[in-house]
Amino acid sequence: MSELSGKPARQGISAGRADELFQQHRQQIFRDTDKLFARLMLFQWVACIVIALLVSPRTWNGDASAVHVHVWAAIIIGGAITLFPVWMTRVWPGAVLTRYVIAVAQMLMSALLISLTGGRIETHFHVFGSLVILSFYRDWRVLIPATLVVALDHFLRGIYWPYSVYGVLTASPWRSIEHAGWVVFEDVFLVISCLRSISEMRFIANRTAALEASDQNSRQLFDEAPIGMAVVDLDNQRFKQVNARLTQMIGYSEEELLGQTPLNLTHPDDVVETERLVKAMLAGTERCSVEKRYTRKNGEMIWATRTACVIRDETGQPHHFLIMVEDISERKRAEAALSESKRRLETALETNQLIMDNSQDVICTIDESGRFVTVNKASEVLWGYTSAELEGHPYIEWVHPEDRLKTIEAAGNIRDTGKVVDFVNRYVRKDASIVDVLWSASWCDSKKMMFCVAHDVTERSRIEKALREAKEDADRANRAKSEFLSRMSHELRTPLNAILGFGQLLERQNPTEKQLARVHHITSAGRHLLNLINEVLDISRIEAGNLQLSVEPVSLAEVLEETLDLMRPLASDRSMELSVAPPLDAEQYVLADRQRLKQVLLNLLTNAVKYTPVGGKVTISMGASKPDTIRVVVTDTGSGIPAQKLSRLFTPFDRLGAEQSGVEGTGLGLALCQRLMQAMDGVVGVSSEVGKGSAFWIELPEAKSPLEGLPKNRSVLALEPHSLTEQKRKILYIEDNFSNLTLVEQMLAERSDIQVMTAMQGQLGLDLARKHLPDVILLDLHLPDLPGWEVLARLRRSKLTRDIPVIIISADATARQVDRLMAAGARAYLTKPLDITGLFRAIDDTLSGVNRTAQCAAA
Amino acid sequence: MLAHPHCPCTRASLGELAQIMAERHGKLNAYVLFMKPGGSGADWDETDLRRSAAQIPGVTVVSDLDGVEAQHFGAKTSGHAFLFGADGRLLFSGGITASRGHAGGNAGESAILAAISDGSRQSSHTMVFGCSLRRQPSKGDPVVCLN
Repeated sequence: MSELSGKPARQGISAGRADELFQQHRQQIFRDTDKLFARLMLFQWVACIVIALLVSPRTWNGDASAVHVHVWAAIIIGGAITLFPVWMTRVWPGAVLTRYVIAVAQMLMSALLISLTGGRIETHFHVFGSLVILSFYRDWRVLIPATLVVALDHFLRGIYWPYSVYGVLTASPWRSIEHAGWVVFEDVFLVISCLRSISEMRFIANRTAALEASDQNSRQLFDEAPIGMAVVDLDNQRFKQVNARLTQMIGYSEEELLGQTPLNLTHPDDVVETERLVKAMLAGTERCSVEKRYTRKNGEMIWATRTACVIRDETGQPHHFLIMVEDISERKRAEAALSESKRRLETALETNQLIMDNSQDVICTIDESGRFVTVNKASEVLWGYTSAELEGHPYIEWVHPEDRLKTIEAAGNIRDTGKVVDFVNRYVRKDASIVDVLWSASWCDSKKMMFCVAHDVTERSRIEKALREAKEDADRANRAKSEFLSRMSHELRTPLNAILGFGQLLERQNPTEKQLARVHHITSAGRHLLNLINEVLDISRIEAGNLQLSVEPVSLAEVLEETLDLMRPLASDRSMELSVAPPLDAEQYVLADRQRLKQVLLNLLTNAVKYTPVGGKVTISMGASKPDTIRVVVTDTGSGIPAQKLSRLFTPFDRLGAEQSGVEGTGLGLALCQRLMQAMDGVVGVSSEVGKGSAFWIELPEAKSPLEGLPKNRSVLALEPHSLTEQKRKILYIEDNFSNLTLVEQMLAERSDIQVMTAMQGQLGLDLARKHLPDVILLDLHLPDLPGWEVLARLRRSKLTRDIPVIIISADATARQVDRLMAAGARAYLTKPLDITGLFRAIDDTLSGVNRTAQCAAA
Repeated sequence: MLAHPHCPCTRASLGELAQIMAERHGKLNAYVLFMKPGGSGADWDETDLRRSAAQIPGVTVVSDLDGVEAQHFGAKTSGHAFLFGADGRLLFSGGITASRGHAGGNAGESAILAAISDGSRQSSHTMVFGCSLRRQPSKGDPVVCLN
């Protein structure tokens, strides 16, 4: 029995399925056997009646007869025994109760037959036959009620009606036991048979379940395979079965595919080859694989690997083709892209090689140990060595000994920063000549290699050296020029200081009209000379690029007001109308250097006033010619300038013949204006009409008010005007020039609140400062024993004097000098010749604690 | 033997009679009297059973009109056999089948064979299985036919 266990290979679902199949099989057997018994019992019933009618249709009593009781027994009892179980087979086919009733009924039918035959022994075999047929149920339990009925029937009838069961009038109980024993004997074998049948059924069920599972797995593998699969009929070459992946790949539905052949879907260019392979397989080739193209339903072409094999039946006869189709379109595209990439790479490599071979620059790679890895032909030219000599050789050995250290540092930097550019070092060529090489190199960390491009810059280095030397010469010359200008400025300003200063004093001492006119000539000539010096210095600064500008938002109204204040006396002297139209807007700001803007406006207004006839009119107006700029126009009613002369208007020292008119001028004013405006990103221009006048204008970028954004209601900290206390303030003036010393003493003498001390040497000045601790020190820079800056430095170093404000008074008006002294601690910087008003303001501001930046009182 | 021409059980009795006749061929003359009611048709007793009996060697078939002979012998049931010796003594009376319609050895047959062999009277009486030979059975007269 063990070999019939037929346990499914997989437990779980298969075991359950096996049980299900087993139960289905059993139930089918139960139903079939029920039907069999239904027919058998009906047949038995009919047969019983027929036999009764044939054998003993009637019973006789003399000449009288009646239907034999056997006939009635066959009809009535036989019917009673038969119809109920037959009905049950219709109502409950396969039910347990049905077959148990059948078993009982069949045994009762046996009893009836035995009885009808008068206990003939032949009819007892009906019992055995019935048991055998009952075993068709393969349910040994139905034998139990059957056996019990037989045994009970024999025992009871053997006792009470032996004639009907054994055909004798009396019967021994042993006879019933014997009959029952035979029945049990048969039952033993029938039970064994039933059990074996059940075991076989289980085996079949298990095997069927396993086959089903295997078939399902195969089907699932086919249906859900990630590649297209199909079964193709061997005869008509049509698809018999296709999986979902294939339909998805080809674009046809399963129904559409089943009517086609693989050749229908094959790309026209691959049909011939496919047909050849099919023939080869039909001729005996078991398997073949080919890369081919299919045409999708939408017309697209796909590449696929098609593998086909012949499937044979159990007799070895070819049955059908199994084809497997894998979409390799992506791979083909990738291969095409790779091929294209490879072609491009080869082209690039060839191009690179051409570049390497034909480049005039050195192109080389250097490994992390500093050895040349690859070099091009230009390298051989540069260093004089062959490629074989260069490759594998440490480059550092050919670097000029003086440049090795910086070369090693640069190589180290490349690894840190990734690249180096414009690095120049010298190499010793094979012929011992020196060559300057300019390098650009980058470090590839993944390759551990430097990629370098270099070329010979020996000639360039020579030129650069020459240029550098020339520049140094020019710088020296420029410094000499600046020194000269500074010195000239100082030397010219010093006497001018005395001329203008004493001239101003004379004007304030109530001279006669004639004296006043003469003094006026002196001061006028002095101022003209001073302007000339200042303008020359300014142009010099601009051209040297040394002009220092402080560009910031500047209130145009304020600057114009200040300028107009300065110009009004001159305009009044010439009976001219100086007006602003429309009224100035206090909210208009421009980006400019306040002093330089004022200087430009003053220049333009001065020109307008000077060159406009007496009684003329000068108007200042503001507007915007383009967005974000403000234009200021100075219009006069002068004689105008011919158009052909306008282009010369801003040329230095070209006064367009005005020198003949008697109007004073240097010819530098407009040139200086133009340069200052350019320096402030502004523009100066002019339009003029002869006989009507000229309009000079400037344009500057508009700016926002610096007060914008501040709280409007905040308290404005306004500086109170300085009011000196009644106590006299001590001022120490250190100056070696007696005239200047005297001039300042006389100027300050007008101030009763100031006491002046003087020193004509630097050391003496220092001593007086420590002794008297003055409130302010006025310091000249050119002293006989100590330079003025040294005096300033010492004052600042001493605890006693470090807090005493120092005002520098010097004829050196260069910006560099001013910046240097201010940075060294000077409170203010006044240039000679001194303006009394400017001097007093500087002193007052200093005494009142207001920090003022350097100002050049060059008026 | 008194017999009813339509009794199905009598076929077994005739079978046993044929056995006896075969075994004691020539020593025995047998008569089978088939009952025939008066007024019945000529074919009433022309049955397969009568023809079978007539074919047994040594057996003479006679019609017993209205069962008179049966009454004379006191036979009530078809298949009732009587054995008389050559001297006219009744040696045996009874049935010669073991059971209703049963063929095969039985006590009646054995008794006849024994009486033929030794001429002794057999005292045993065996049951007769067959239809009633009485034309109009009186009330309370049991019907012997047990089939």
